[in-house]
Amino acid sequence: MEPVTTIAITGLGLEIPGWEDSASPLRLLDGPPVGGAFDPQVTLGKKGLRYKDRATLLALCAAEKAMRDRGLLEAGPEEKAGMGVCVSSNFGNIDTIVRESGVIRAEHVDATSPMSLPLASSNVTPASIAIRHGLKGINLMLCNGSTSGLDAVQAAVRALRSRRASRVIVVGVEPSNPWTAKLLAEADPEARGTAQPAVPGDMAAALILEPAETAPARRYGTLGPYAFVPPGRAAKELPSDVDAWFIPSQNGPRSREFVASHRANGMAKAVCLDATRHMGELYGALGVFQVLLAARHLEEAGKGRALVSNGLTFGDGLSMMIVNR
Amino acid sequence: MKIGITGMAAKTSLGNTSAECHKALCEAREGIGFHQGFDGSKFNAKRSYEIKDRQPGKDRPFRASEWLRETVRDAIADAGIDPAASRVVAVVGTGLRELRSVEMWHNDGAAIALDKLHFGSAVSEGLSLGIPVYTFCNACSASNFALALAMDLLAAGEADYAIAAGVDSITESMFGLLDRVNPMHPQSLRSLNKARRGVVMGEGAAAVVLARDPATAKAWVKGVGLSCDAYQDTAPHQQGLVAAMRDASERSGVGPAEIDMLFMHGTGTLLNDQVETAAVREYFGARAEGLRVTGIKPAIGHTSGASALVSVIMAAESLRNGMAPPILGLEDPIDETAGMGLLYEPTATAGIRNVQVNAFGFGGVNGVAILSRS
Repeated sequence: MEPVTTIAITGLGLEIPGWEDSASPLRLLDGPPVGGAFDPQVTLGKKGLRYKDRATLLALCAAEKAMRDRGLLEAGPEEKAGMGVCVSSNFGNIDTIVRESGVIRAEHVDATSPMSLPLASSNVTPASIAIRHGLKGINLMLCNGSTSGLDAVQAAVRALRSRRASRVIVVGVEPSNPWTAKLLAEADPEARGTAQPAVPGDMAAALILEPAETAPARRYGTLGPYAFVPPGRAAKELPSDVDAWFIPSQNGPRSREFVASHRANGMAKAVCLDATRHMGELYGALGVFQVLLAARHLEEAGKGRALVSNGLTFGDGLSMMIVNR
Repeated sequence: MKIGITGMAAKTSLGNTSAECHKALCEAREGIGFHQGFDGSKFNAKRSYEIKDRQPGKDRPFRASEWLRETVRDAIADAGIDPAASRVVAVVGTGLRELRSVEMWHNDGAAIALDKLHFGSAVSEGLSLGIPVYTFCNACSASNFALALAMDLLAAGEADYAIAAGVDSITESMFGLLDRVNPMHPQSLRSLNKARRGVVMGEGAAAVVLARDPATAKAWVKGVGLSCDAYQDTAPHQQGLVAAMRDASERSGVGPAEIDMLFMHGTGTLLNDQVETAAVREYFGARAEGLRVTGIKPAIGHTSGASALVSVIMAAESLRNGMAPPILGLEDPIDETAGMGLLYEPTATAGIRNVQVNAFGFGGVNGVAILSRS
């Protein structure tokens, strides 16, 4: 078999409660989404949603839209069976863990809900996507901190190259709830360098990735090189020949310094785009959302390439990836 | 290209090193005891296979990170490599990551930093060096997924050495919810017995160092197959299990006829053991007759995200030390195993060449590893 070289982005899906689907997601770079109640039934119908957690419902909605965008929603089972799933989230099932452990402490294990059992395992989200669409390829749940989103995109790229899936649906998701807000508010207040705690975002972004060799003509772009810089190590020179630079979340002094110093040195020409500015802290969802925005941005421009970067907050390292039109 | 295990380390309720664990397993010891970390009056099932590093009733956060730090450091020392002088990457498989610490944060006021909820800092502290670390939360087969992904990274030339690791400490929520849905309140985990009463959780950590074409290896990893059932959240699915075995066979070039010994996942639940045995029969066909079959969960509990790699390391120890551990407490096995060579006693491994290690998890995620003698 020919080696898989280039990976194409062939489907996009975005779920933001209250966000009007028909609008361009690029508008989210200019102002906050108009908030509204989250109604997963609008996208998913009524069946089988009752005992899912919020992260899984958000992810299922984004995945549904990406599958539709790629024309796979109505495809036959054999078309989908080889597909894999790779989800990134750090706060995914924290709500269940907190709630059920609290019930045990206050009362007894017999007071917990047996329907919570699947939710106690962090991989409930990719499993739910696989079950809904019949995807039997590699199934991964990545919880890797503030680099997790791009790390998940790269995990999907590696899975395609290692032929562990024919296509991969990548989802980045973080839910907002009182506990994620509290965790963020308590996060390393000294290192934060500002009085204002980060507010959790509440959204899911999805991409369909597949080998460019076999991808349909309609595609949003292709993925280029990826790099991971561990905490404590300095990032080498960034590729300055990019048209757009999606910067890391600015909820931390290290990421702010990183962006300021590179804007002053070498990265002055690229348009600097902050995907978290109006969205709250997107944490493990950010990298996937950034790639979605980069794909749209390059599609509108009709050419060019973007550098996507996430990390350098909450003690984590840095991940970077190139997206080409 | 051959990928070999050049260093390994494990820690369970039965020992703090890989050798200690293997010796205890072959002596048919069992690591169970009354809960140390939880208030037993809140649960119906009173016992688990904890790593006994606490005073009763005195819990502390980040125990999983402590064990991971130690096992990664020990595996690197065992491999005798200098991580600063080469490109090293680590893939950590876990079911429950540091969710126990989140429970203690919520219920006991423990302080937690966000970056301690995944395992990048624990691995880097173990090595005194920052390296790329990826924390995958893939339920009970997580560390066979970690092994597969670490192999892929090496095969793609992205690293000189890849560490695959697995770790889990018991969470109150997972232990409690398993307790909630099981009316039989098991006192011990008893894989493949007719009288088995269900799964009992355990704690553990495991790490291996993988290298491309090393001169010698503790064992060779021939291939790891993965699949997803896409069927149900918590129940196993025979088709999915068989698919992972077939993928392992294709990737390793080792067919069912060449497998000499099987480490079963063997969680000891009524359904899981039955479905796994049926899948083994479907995949192995006539070869299932007399196939030597063991499993270590009755002795160390279900160590969740660590369990696959603990089994892989115990399989490697069995090939090296000449002795494989028995299925502890096996008395009256289920009828589906009739004719299979179940290990009632420690058994010599002379003549055993290839070993298969099964792991299946919630969400229908299946990982099957094939090892061979060095």
